Amino acid sequence: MTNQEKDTASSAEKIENEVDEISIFSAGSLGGDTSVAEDVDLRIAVEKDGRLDPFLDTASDRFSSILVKETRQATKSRHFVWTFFATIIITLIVTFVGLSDRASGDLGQSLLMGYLVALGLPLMIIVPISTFQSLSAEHGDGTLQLISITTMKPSEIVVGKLCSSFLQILIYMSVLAPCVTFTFLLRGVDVFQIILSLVCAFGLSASLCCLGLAMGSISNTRIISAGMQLVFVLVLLAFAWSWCFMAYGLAQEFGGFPAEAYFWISSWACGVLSTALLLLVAATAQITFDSENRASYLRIAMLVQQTLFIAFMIGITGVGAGRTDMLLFMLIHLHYWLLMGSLMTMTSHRLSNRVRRSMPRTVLGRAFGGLLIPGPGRGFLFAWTNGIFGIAVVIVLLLSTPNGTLNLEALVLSSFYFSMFLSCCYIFNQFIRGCSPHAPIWIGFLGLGIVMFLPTVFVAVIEAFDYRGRYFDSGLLVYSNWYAALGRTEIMAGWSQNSGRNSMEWVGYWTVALTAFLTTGYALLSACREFSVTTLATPAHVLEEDRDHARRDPLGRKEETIDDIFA
Amino acid sequence: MVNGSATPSIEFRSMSRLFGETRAVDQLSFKVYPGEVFGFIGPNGAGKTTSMRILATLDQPSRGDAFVDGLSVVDDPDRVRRRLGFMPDQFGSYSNVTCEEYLDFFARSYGIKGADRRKCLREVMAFTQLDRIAQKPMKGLSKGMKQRLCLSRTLIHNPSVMILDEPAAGLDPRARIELRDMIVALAEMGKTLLISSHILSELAEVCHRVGIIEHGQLLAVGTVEEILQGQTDSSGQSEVARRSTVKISVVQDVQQCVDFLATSHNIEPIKVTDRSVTIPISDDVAEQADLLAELVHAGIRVSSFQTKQRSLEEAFLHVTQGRVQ
Repeated sequence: MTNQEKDTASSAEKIENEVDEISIFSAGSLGGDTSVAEDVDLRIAVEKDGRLDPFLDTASDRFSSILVKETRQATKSRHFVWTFFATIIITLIVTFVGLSDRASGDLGQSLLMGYLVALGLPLMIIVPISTFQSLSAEHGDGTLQLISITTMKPSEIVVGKLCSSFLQILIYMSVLAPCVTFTFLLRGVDVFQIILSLVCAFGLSASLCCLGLAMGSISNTRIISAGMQLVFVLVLLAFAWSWCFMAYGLAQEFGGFPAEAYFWISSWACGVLSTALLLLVAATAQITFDSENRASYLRIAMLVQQTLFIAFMIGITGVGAGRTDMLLFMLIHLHYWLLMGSLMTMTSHRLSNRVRRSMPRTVLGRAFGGLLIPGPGRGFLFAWTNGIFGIAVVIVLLLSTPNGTLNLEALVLSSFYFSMFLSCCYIFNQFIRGCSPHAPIWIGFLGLGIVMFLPTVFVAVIEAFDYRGRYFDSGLLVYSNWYAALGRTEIMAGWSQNSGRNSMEWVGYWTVALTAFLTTGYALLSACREFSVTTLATPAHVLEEDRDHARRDPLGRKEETIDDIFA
Repeated sequence: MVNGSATPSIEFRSMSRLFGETRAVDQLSFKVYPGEVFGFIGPNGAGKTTSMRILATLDQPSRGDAFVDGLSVVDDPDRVRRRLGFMPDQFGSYSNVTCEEYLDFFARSYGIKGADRRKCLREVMAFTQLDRIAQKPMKGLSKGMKQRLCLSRTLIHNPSVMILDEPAAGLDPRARIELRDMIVALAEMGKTLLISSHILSELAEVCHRVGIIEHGQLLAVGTVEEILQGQTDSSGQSEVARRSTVKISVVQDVQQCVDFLATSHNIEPIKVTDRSVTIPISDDVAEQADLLAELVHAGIRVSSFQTKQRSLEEAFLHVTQGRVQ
């Protein structure tokens, strides 16, 4: 027996042993003609043919199945090939045109800008669209339901698709990598500039992919999918257009940015990435089974944004933002919680047994996880607490910085309006939920619209017809409009302190405060009823099933509880 | 095979599913035991697919619950998915993917790795005879091949309970026979199968028991025999004794035969056509022979005497006839 024959025999024996150990189908296999000899022949053939494929096959076990599938699909698709070659051609055109125009002083900057603009096509349009389509097509083709009933988690599906998009982004970026490196050798470009440009391109494209996934997850019918696609394409075109200006800005900033610019760039990056995270979690929640806990991770993503907002507010006190800027950011913060609150208060108050089993049992979990449990009341409390906490932090921050930018009156008044509108929205949404238990969650926006914007529109109409200023200028009607009332406080703050307030204004303030106290008190009492729901024990046979499964698959997926988040 | 004392593999417990005012499924309750092949039959819109989707953890019941091996589909959907294979009536396909890659993807999705996955793929493709087209793209497969691929996907994680929704729909006779053989083979492996189909004759051949559903309500459940035994005629009299029919053709006057059957045997109803009569009769062969002898003895010249047993189709038509409005 030659050495080669010995090796083959040893390999065959090894594989045969391996096959014996594996028992996929229990007693009585599927009955197909799958003899061990055939298997051995196949494996030996594979080994002889090459080592790359088996290596990749084994290595791919470490990655998400969705990532493997999406990458296979994407790299074989026609649009990938076309885009790939289009990017190469555009890059070559930019290079030749750039090099032929030697008159310009900083050739490196011109070329870098051209390459960054060329990246805009695949990164800002093609990859996000294909990400959107990868999820919406799963809805349309009915394959999402096939994936949903596997043991894969919804988060794995979404993250797998996102990772596939990342891979595509990296492939497209690698096309331009030699050219971008080449610009460094020319005048007017430094390494930091190149790295920052590429990081910005990657970050923006990845965030757009997250938006695509979020929009794709709600495209569950052909009509909605078509509408979403149209809206998404318009959004992408707008971003691609903006990217051209960003590319110009990034290419021109040789030698670094002004000190303040770093703060604004990092704030912008944090805002975009945290919003991308929220969208990603929202997409996951959208494809999660109804009885599962879909709220906790969404609320954690909101908490991340809240933390970033507070950090941002601390930062802008340092860069000396004006009073109007502070008030504007505070309003954006409160409107964020109003919008999120309107959705959270529209959820069903019925907790599934599944969720009740996952409720916190540890001290830490009970202390901090109570508001992460699904439910409209807890959602209201979560939004309200965060909104008020944000205002409180900003007030403390402003009081501790002696730069005179505080308009305390506006902040306190805003907190009253915020509480009043959020409470009314909660009460209204509960009424809607009572009338129609299966109403979609987005109807919550309607509740917010009715309680908040209708009075605003009403006042605007009155104002339009109030030629003599009898009602608007001096009446109480103005206090039904948050923005008008804030505008008045700003005007008053700008006047001499000696001018004082008239009695009507004090009545207006107290009316708003009293309404806020009454509605918020009622809403808080109503929301607290949800805390009477008790934790449910996991049935013994389910625990036994889990133990049995853990024995067979020690690394297998396990049911998550809210305590796990704090573990 | 069927064990009444064991935990049911599938159980519907007073399950209802409402879509607005429409009751797609109404208080559905029945059990399917380990190793049993259960046929789920009913007209279009009866609630079969809705029930199956709930069982497959794709939808939630409005009331009640469904269980797979004692695990609730509402409370423990992830655990149910480990042991359940669902073959929907619609085939979801991917572009730029071969048959092998498709199955490979689902094997990975069920957490099967490395050598286990490769063996799994080989066995499943061998069972469904897809190994010859493993490298062919999914798009462009025939209906029969798609169904095989769909069945392979359902089998990939070796589920103990399988739900097949209209598996034979749109298949040619050959593909249908092959699919039926696969179902029989799966049943022999000890898998529990819940199958819905419009092709009742095939269901009767492979199913141990059947459930008949209409307008979301379960009308009858049991073996075909039990369902036939449970039927009553319009006068409330059980049809147990007379669930076959006999077609008697005569050479001369058919009226003479009708009079004889009506007067001497009180048989009704009697369907008369040109030179033959059709009457209900017992399955008892001796009784059938006696009737033939009496006819001949009475001077009636019988040219043919054809008995026919009542089938699942007739039971289905009878059970679903206007019972629920």
